[in-house]
Amino acid sequence: MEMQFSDVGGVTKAVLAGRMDSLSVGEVETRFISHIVPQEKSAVIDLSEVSFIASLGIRMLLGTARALDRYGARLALFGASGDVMDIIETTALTEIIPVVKTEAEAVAAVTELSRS
Amino acid sequence: MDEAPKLIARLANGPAAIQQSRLAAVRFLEPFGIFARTMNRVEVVLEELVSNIMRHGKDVNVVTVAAGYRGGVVDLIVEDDGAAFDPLAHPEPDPFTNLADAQLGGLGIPLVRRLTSSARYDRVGSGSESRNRISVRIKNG
Repeated sequence: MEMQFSDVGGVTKAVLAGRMDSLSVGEVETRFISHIVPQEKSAVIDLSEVSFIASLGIRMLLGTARALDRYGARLALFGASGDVMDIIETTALTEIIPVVKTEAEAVAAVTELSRS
Repeated sequence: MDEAPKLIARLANGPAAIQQSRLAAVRFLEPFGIFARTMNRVEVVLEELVSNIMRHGKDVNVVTVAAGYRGGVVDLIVEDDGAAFDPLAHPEPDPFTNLADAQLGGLGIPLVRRLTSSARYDRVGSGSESRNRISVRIKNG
């Protein structure tokens, strides 16, 4: 799995690409979280290039959101394909993390949540 | 076109078994023309079941996967030769209500339960031939 990071108006943007299965998540999870969380600012994750997600991928996203929450920062996901969205919805992750279609919606979601 | 469950993979327990089991299921199911969503669910369920064996079944040597397709339903049967262990016996985790209380681990088997129309554990065989068997059904649609 590949990942890239940038800054979008004070929000960390991460782009993930490839399969979020147990092997690939095991290889990148620590690096991913240690890049995003110490910045202590809200983040959005682009999932449009993620072709597959299983429970360890869900755990990585949830763990990132929980760690950011301790700093009052928020996480939102966007761009998930139909197959990836099916699994995200099945786990009910959408109950506690905003999952939207576009980057602009994701940035707006974390900005709004950080103010609340 | 229907086909009763048959052995599609016999694998050495380890990280490679996860991908090998998925690919074997995709190869078996492709001729049936099932929906992409169903195929993805099959792949996720196998990922969870076989990776669970890899993580918890340190004594497991061989993992087998059987698959079938009957009446619009995919049958998957995953067996291992380890000590008796029923992963489905664990209670469902609490539903997500807020981030601070969300349980990070143990999401895999609940995901299997939700993606399947039935999931069952049996201890089969006897003596040195005893095996753990997980049988799941996934509706095509």
